[in-house]
Amino acid sequence: MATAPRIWEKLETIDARIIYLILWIVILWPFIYPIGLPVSIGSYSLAYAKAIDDLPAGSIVVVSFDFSLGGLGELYPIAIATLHHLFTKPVKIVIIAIWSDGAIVADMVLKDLKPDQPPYNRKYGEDWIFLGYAPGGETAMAALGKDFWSTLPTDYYYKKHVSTYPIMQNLRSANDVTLLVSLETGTPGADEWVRQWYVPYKVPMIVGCIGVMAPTVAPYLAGGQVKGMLPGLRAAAEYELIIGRKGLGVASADALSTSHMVFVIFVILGNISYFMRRRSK
Amino acid sequence: MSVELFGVLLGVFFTLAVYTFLYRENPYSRIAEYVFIGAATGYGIAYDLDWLKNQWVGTWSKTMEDSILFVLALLLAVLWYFRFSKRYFFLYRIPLAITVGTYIGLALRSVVFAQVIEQVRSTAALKVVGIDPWTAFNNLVTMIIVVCTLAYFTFTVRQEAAFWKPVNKFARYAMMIGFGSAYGYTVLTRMSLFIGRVQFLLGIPPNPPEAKMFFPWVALVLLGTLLGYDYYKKTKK
Repeated sequence: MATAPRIWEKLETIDARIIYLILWIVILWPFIYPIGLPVSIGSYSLAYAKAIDDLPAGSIVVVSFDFSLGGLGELYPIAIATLHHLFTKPVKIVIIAIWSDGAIVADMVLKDLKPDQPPYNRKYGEDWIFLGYAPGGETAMAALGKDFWSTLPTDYYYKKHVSTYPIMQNLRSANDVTLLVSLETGTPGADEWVRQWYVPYKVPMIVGCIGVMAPTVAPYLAGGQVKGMLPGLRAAAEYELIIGRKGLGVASADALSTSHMVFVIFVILGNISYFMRRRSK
Repeated sequence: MSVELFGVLLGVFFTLAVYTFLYRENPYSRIAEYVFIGAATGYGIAYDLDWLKNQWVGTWSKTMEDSILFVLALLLAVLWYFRFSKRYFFLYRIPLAITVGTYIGLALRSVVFAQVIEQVRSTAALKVVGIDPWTAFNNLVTMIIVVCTLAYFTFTVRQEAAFWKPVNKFARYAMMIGFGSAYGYTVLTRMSLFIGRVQFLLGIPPNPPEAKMFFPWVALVLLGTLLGYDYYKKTKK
């Protein structure tokens, strides 16, 4: 019986590197040997998909890449799935970035999807356009809401004035936008978009964000300012299942589940160890 | 080796170099950290300059008045760099004041509507009758939590009466659950970031498949040198 407290003591002071090693193993394992754990679909993801499904033909949708390369792990699958969903709808898509790295990520996503080619066959400048990065954070959002042409006067790929593209003829301010899609990791993000686009122009908005941002965005869902939200990789998997295009989100679901199981086990062990040590004292 | 392949090799090296920090702080993780900061700063500056060029060509070069305004704005922007001068530090305060003032002005015009009125309205509009029992229960709990948590932060009234005790206790528990939920999402984010890098290392599409080839070798070199150095230091003592 005398050895019992020592076990709990050891558990509490376990070398963090052992935990890291276990996490490496449980995350690598499902990629090499997939388990196929089930993914249930939540109401946030359904609302996000519905906001896109309900868009009338010819609507103008602005997709803003408000994240840096650090957010790729969670937001790349969301960005791919969202743009795939949008490119299959008869809507006009305007892509922008409020974060400088956002332009790089948007370029990566567009090169991956190839909207000009089958199955999409969407024409650049007519059906979609990429306007690049607008610096200034919240001030850029406010300026875009007021006037797209002067805030982003040229497009990203060909550096031609936006007035030369047919898609931009019907887009001068936020009043012309039917839906705003913000893919984001923080500030500037949902708070600023709601302040600069929802309050003055009442532009409906959906948000794809990293998991840690979910509690920040959730009050806007309750308030009706945000119509749908995809918080993190787990939500990306749900959304991929809704739109019927399995990608990185679904591929990551197993690893996400196994890593969280290990995490929960460590939390339980830590708690047991704490209470057992306290009891032995 | 082609440029693309070299890029993938660098990607694998820097990914693993960052994670060697988990073993201990070492030159690999330091190099990765500094290169990342340098590259991110470089990208930021390049994109900002590109935007300035586009603004000049697309909008501000059309009339003399606009051109003067553009140059004045640039001169104002240069004042930021007086942050590094002890003598002319006061000049740095001019663009700082303009920026802070602009941001506050922009936020103030809508923050009350965006983050207070809509939330109050939606909470007040929650229904507890005539809907399915689960939603009704959920709405009731939300209402109680909102009222109790707001009461907890009401400092203008001395909370000495007996009924404050359970209200405050309930508010504390509610907030703890909220913080726990936020922490859970934080874990999800960290794991997801890690999973993203693992997908890259394993060359899972759309990541370049060559990464899978480099991964074990680079990992072996990094771990081998770190463990080898530590072993050498230990035996030398």
